[in-house]
Amino acid sequence: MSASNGEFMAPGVLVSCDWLAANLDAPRLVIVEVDEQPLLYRLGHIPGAHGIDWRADLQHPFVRDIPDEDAVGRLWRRLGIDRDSIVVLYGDKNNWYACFGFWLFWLYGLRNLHILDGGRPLWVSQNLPMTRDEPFAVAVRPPRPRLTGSMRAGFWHVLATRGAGAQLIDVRSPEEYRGELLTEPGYPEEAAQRPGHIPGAVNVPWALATQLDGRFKPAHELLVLYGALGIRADRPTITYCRIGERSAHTWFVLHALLGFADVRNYDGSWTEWGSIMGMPIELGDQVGELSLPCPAPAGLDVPSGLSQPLAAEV
Amino acid sequence: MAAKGAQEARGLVGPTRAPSIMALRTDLWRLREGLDRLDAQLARLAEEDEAPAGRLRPERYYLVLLAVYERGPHGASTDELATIGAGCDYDRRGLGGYFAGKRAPLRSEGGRVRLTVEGTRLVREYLGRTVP
Repeated sequence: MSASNGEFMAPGVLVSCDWLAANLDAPRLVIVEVDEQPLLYRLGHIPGAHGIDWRADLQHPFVRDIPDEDAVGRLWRRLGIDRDSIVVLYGDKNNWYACFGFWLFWLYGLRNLHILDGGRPLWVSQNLPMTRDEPFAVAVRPPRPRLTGSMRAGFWHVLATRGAGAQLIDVRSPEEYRGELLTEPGYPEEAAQRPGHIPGAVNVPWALATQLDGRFKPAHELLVLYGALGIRADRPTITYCRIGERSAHTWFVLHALLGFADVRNYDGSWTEWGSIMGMPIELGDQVGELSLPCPAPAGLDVPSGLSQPLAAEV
Repeated sequence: MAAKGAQEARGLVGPTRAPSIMALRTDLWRLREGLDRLDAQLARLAEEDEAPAGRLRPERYYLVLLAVYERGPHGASTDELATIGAGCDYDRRGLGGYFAGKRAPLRSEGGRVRLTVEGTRLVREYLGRTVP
């Protein structure tokens, strides 16, 4: 399998439309479409592709969390993923949700994962084959999902690692970063209580990593882009956006394409940070600085025996 | 005087019986611009004053929006939009209505055409109504 750009540190993690079109019948290949608009799948999809619903399949049904190991195991069984599968994910919105799926599957230990470069938009614009036929489920024994926490961040990671030099990347639009918008227009249900950004976060909108046709930019351009903003591959890095899907896109770029050693996706993201009482917030273009420990919210006593929950030592 | 007479004879300066090609092109450009403006105003009136919210439009109207959605967050170039429109029997001028009015479903920015919030809502509505 060859990478579409051919020069990434992890060659092969990206597959091109040409490669996929030529290998649709390849054994062990499992193609998975993940869209923001799940109905698109039923309108037409790549032959042989399974469709998953981001909200139903990649989220916990009740708690705001990712699905547990059992649910992921059931999902892999439904998709026909076994130990030898080559899994290719793609979707609309330049692969936002496909990258979230990649991140989640990686988090649960699946490794032979790939992203279709350009995603659904490029496949459609090239008039490559589409079908409405849904593939038959193949009985398989999927690998047991085993959660590894090293690619996921919570707000406590931000607090705990920021003091240790971790770099924070806010991948939302500049308007959201500056606090001029509470959320991007069209997503009112994803608004936090307060606008702004996490003090210390650099704004690198996710879209800067892609070309107009939706493919990722070549590695040397990406390195220049992040390098110019002082983002270094050897430092712990945390990406965030509003609910964690766009930041999964940038996580994919840094982790899978550029080979950053320690990158976490903070999927609680701004909807969490911007809604927690007492969280420090920065407005405007200035990056700001996260001063630790954060002061407790006014009038809130910390019960004896508990440490201040927003302290750096959490 | 003799030189001016020679220029007039070649149609370069001064009053002539027939308008110059340049003048005709300018008039044509103004007419097209006026037609575009009228198209846009008509679409805006139809959208805001005459039609009740939530009315169904012809299927090709939604297909154009769906095709723009399928291009991804970077949207389509104006030439790509023209191709999309032609595939749905809209000529370039006929696409002007998509950009008109307070609830315009498309916006143009930096040479790229993208869905507005209203456009995305219409795509979602279309998918919900038509996809089995």
